[in-house]
Amino acid sequence: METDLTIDTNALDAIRSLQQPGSEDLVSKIISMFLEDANRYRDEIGEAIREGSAERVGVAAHSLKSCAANVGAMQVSATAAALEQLGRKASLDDAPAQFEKLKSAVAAAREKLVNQLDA
Amino acid sequence: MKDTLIQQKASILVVDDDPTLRLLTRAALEQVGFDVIEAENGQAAIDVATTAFPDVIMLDVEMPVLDGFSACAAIREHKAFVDTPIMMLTGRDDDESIQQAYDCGATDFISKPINWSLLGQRVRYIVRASRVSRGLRESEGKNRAFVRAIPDSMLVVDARGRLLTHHRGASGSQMIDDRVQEGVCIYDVLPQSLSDLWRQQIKQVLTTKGVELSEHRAMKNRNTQYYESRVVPYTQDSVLIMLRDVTAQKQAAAKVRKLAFYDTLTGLPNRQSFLIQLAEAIRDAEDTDRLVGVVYIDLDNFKLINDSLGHSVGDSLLKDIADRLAASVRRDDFIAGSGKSRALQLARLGGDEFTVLLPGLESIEQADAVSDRLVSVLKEPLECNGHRFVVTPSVGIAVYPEDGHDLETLMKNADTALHHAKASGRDRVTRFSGTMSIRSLERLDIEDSLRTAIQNDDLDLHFQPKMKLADQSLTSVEALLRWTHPERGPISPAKFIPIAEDSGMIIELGDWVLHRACQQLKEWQSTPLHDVRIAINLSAKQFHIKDLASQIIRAIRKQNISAGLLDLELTEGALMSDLDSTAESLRQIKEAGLRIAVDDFGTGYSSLSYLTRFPIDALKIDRSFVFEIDKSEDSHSICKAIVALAHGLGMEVVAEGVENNEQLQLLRMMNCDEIQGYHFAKPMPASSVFEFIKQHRARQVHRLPHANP
Repeated sequence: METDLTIDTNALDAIRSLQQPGSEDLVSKIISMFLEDANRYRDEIGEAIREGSAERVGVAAHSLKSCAANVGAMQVSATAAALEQLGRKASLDDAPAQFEKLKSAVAAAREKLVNQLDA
Repeated sequence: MKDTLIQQKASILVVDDDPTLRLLTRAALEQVGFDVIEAENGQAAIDVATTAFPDVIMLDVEMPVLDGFSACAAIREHKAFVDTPIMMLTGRDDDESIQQAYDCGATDFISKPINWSLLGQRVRYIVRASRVSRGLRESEGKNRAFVRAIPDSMLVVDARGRLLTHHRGASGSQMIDDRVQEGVCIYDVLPQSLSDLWRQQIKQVLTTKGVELSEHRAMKNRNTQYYESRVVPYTQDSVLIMLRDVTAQKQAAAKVRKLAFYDTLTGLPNRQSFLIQLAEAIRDAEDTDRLVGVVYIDLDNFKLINDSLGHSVGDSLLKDIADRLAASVRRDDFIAGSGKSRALQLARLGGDEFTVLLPGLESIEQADAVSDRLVSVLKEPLECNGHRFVVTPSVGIAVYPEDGHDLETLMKNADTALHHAKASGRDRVTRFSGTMSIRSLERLDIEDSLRTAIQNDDLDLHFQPKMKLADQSLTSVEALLRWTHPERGPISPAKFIPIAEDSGMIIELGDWVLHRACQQLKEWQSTPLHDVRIAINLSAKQFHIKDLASQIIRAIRKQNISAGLLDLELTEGALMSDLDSTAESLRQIKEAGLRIAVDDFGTGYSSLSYLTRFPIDALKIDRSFVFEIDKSEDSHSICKAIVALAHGLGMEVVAEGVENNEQLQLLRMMNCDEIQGYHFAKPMPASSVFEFIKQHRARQVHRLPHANP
């Protein structure tokens, strides 16, 4: 993987362009919301895999896919999309492996985004 | 320039289970000025939409509780959202979702991830497009409502006559039958004349872009219907034809015209319309050297019919008369043929007054001929409401240019002529003449009043006693006519008798006197005056009555009195006018037992031979000789000669106008038989003469023993 897909900074720039003067900082808010949700969805997916609930995996992965895309966390979004497909197909065989990828992608995104918060 | 369609703040419902996405979408939309409402799933979306009525709905596909497609379909079914833009948020290039979005009624789709910087603009476009199309739909709806509300029928037809669309309104659809259907060529199914007209008008309109109007007439249930069509350009190569039923307007207009120019009772043209026709006829006559006759007709004594039988009878009689006149005028029109420029015009001016306009006459005789026919038609008896009437008209005629060059003068002169006709005894046709002066009108007025006087009994008889010189006895009186006009007071016989003679009304007067005298005689029969004779005057004109003698005899018999009580006085003129028939009348009268005296003797004809030809009982010496008997030797001699002549022929002599004792004594010496005059007694009313005679006789009885002076 040559390109750093951790965070698409274009996405954050686009969010920034929506910033209204005087309102609370949109980028910070979105990032905070993502960081909160990402952990929650990740844990939900992990638990669903352990319990073998493909449906729950699909639903949680779908949500994570969407909210990751919002902040440009493309690696998280892509991995969540893969898990969503597994959940839809109800074949969780590859799920633990994907879940591992997801966890590291979330960790990487978190690191980048926290930097963004500080910036 | 402000976008007016965005001016009113649009509200957008954003439906997504992802709070982050909702937050960002809100930011993006608020940035371009939209209000944002949020919902977190499909079911919530339906609830919010049906309370907040957003202008645009953005729906995520995958949501808990109710997914985006189902929500979209449910919202679309709601009638408030039939045309609300619904945007589905789909995954990038997810063809299946896009197809599904379309199937469930979405308007558009936006691929995720969303391009935030473009989202606001994108939604603005959608809002504007939606408002434009809603505006169009509304205006189409309004147009449809207009078309539905318009009673006219409409056809949209292309250049070749093919019917593209049509609307059958309540009005005018009778003109287009059921074969007129969309797709057919109207020229194939419409009547030929209408087809040809419209074909030409459609061609015209497509070239000029103007409007072509025309009127049509059609029969429906035997009633004439009127239609109006207007052909206007519709598109580049089609026209709109509007058809309207204008029968009611036509009828209303006709009614207004009828009210303005026609008489409501008879349906004839009224004064207004007559004057217009007359003015035109005069204009035409100026150019053609023709004559124009104005015939003015008034029905005699029509007021009496209204007064005695009521206006409804009067009205229906007027209608019948109008019909008669109209028929006569039509006949005359027919006879007059086609050489004439204008038809005869009959009009009712009001009341019982009618006029006939005779335009384009070649001679005055034509006017006389027409009016004579009108009169004879009118005089035929009429049956109306169970009554039988004989109506006589008085007619005045004035002719252009001789009797007036303009309308006012002609009308006035025709009216004057009519007035003369009425005043001259009614029931006649009188042509206007310049000699119809004010004086003659006054005279005519007297005549007219006199006629009314006979009807109203404004006349009276006074009686002047005569005295026999031999024994001073009083055995006869002369009846003298008196007239008291209700407004003008007493009118002298010297004034009205000649007028009555001229107009012929003396006949009616004579008749009235005859009956009144007989009536008086009858009244006296039961009194001491039962032997008193009454002398009445007969006019020369009365001898023109064929059965004068029998009329007199009838009057006497009617009262059942002795014929010997009635004396007749007539002038020499009367005796000379028509010898044979007069002789016969007098013979019959004499035979019946009446006495006949010649009045005003000595002033008339020099031939005395007539005295032997008629059965005359007495001569009355004219007052002019008596007046001078004591002053002029000539008059004295004449009186003496008359007495001698009368006695010689076995007649008695009466002297009139005796005013003093000298005259009386001279007459007595001449052996005059009887005298009459102020010296003895004035003319007096019936009651007074009754007293006078009674007292005279009482004195006489008293004197009897010493009589014979």
